[in-house]
Amino acid sequence: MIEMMLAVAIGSLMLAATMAASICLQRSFNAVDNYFSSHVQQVRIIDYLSRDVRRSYIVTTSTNRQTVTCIIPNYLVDNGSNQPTRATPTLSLVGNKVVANYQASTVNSVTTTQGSTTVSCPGLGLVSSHFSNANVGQSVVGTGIPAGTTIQSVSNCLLGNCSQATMSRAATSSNSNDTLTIGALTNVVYSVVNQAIQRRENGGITNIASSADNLIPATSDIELLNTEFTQSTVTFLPRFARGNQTFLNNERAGTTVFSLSYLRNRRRGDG
Amino acid sequence: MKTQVQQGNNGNTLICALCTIVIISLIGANVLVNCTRHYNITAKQLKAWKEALYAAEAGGDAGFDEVRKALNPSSLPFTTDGWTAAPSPAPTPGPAWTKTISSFGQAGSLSTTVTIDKLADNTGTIPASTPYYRIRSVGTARLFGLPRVGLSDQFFGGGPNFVANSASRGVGDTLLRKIDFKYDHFKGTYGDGDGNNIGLSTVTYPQVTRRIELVAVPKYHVFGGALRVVNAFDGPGTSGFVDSYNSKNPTNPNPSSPQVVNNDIPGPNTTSYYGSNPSTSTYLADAHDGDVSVATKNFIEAGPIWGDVTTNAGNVTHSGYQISGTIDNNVPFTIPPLSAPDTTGFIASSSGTGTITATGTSDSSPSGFVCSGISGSVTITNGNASSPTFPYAYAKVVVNGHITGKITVERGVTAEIWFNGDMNVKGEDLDNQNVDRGTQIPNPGSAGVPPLIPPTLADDPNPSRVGHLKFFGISPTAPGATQTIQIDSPGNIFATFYAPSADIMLTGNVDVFSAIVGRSFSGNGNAGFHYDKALNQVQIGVVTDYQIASYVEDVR
Repeated sequence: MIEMMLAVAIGSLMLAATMAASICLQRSFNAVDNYFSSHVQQVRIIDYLSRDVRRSYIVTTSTNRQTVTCIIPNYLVDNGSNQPTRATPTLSLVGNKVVANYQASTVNSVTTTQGSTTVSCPGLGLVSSHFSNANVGQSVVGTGIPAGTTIQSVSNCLLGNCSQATMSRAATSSNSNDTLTIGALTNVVYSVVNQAIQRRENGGITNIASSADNLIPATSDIELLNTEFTQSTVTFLPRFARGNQTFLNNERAGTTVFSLSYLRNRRRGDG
Repeated sequence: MKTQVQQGNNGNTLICALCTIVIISLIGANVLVNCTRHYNITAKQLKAWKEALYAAEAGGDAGFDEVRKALNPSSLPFTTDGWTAAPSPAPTPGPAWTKTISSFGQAGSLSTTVTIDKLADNTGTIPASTPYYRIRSVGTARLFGLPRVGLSDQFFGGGPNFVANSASRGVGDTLLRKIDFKYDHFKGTYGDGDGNNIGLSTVTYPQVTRRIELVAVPKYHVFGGALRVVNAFDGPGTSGFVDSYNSKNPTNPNPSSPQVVNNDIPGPNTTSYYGSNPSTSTYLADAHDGDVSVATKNFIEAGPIWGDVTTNAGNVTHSGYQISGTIDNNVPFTIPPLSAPDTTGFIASSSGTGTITATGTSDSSPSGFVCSGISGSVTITNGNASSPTFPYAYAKVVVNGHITGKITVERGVTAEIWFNGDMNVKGEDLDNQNVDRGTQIPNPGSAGVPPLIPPTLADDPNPSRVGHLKFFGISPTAPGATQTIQIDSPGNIFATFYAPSADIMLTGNVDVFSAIVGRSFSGNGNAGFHYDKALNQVQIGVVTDYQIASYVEDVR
């Protein structure tokens, strides 16, 4: 009896040790697996963002740095099939500098007023760029123009050149020498929605990562006189260990992936 | 009697141990497989994806470098260094050229193919005779590591096409990186990018390709400072000065009485034509941009310079010179020679005297005239003066010889005078009748019909009087040939000079309202030089370089 009890006790201890080892191993392996999986998603978020920022006209970020809006040239012509073709660039003047557009045009020396939907451009239509009837319904981007804004109407027209236009949204800042790009533009928005990090391209949604692993992206947009760039970081919380908040913060900080991307199509109003 | 009833227990223990080992091994194997897959993605596939972009951009740089050769007559682009005409039919309207750079990067794993299309603008933004270039570059990176780990490319059920949407290409990395494990998905789906030559194309190794498109457009010269000379600067004279003003802003109402401005500039001659009145700081603010740039160390100054000065290896200092702005003695630059313009369709005038009527409506479509020299008196009149909507006219005169006579430019006319000989005139011979911030004569309308356009200060598209008369010295092509521009007193001058091969000399008591690019400059006596800052808003039609105006990536 005693022998049996000893045997059972020892066996139980061995089994418990084995179980504990198995559980610990599995948790450790899961943590490793989760770490790699989260890292893959980190890199994917950064790569998506960098690719789109690099080819954007304008990038804006939200106050909490978790929503990023990119306005991108509409390079591909939708033929209604699954075989889009490449658009041919057209040239416009911004100040004394030549810029190229795809399925869009630019209007220079535009006056915008904070809180107003009216934009205007002075001078003669024959010698400077103006609005036209073709702009109605098209997207418009520029400094102080909210993302997703369109031209609703044009007015003060002479020989097809219109010196005034009304936008669908009010300008967020006043500018006496703005440059507007008007036409078919691609609008890409990155945002955190529930448990997913979404990329919406002209409304079409792609889930590029899951935030179930507590992935936190943060992007800031830095605009200087002659250039503009974004700084992005993505972090996540590893599962290797538990501790207080300071410990967890340090654990998260150790996973930071950083990226800096310059806008190569930055539209400069200074010519 | 003893029985051996416990023999089977040894087997149970063994089975338990084996099960434990199997379970732990399965967990470990699963994790190792996942880790390997993720490692493959983050290390190998990511590396190839990024390097494919590097390769594409290297190709784009090579193409852009070739495009810039187009400005150098002695180094024609697209003729050497591996460039060939694009195969017929070229993928885009030609002429087009292509070049492949293969086997660079780690173990020769990268390659790039560049195609350049020469395009002409039909929007009037730049002259149709000035080309711009579309540079398309495909960068390819070989994918090292385990194939097909982590991604799930699928064929479209109906044929060899890949379909680039989330339904068929999966999500995440598959959508982003589009790795070609066995077939080139782009050629299989989009052919050359425009739907031509679609077909199944196998790849030698698993690879990643990325495609970028750059647009290289001409970069035009803008007068960003008072004087910019290649060889030597000697000026202003002991009683002269270099300063600036802005014709868009109010200017000193009494500029003919320069006065001393205390503490603004060192030295005894601290006067300025426009910024002289210390009580009107508005004028003074525009007076400090008479910048001088010299591409050598040859810099001599007698009178003060209200602006910045740059030289190349010079020894200019604030203590030894009268310079109000910053000094940088380490600024090299070059100015390409100026070629003669195309005069096809220009009206020939053998005498180079009399009246020329300008009716062109823009800088890019001026009225064209060509003559063998100007020795008498030429007046360029405004043929559009009676237009109610646009009373301005543009003329381009090409002089195949010397300019020694008088040139009058009527108000409303913007004239370009191109010449390949010398210029030797007095200041009063260059009669520019325009005014700064010229206003349009209002159209009064008629009964029931309002004026078409209200007059505003911005009516004249070019607010600068100086900017209405532009001289271009065509660089001599004969070996050893030189070009000189000599302007003497009396008379003030309102004109710009772009003559990168000319030695420019101003003598006597003249006030020159201008901006100059030349080989050398000298000014003596009390010749004053005043740069109009409004000129830095206007390009003058001379291409000095190409620049990248657009960058897109074909992410299909």
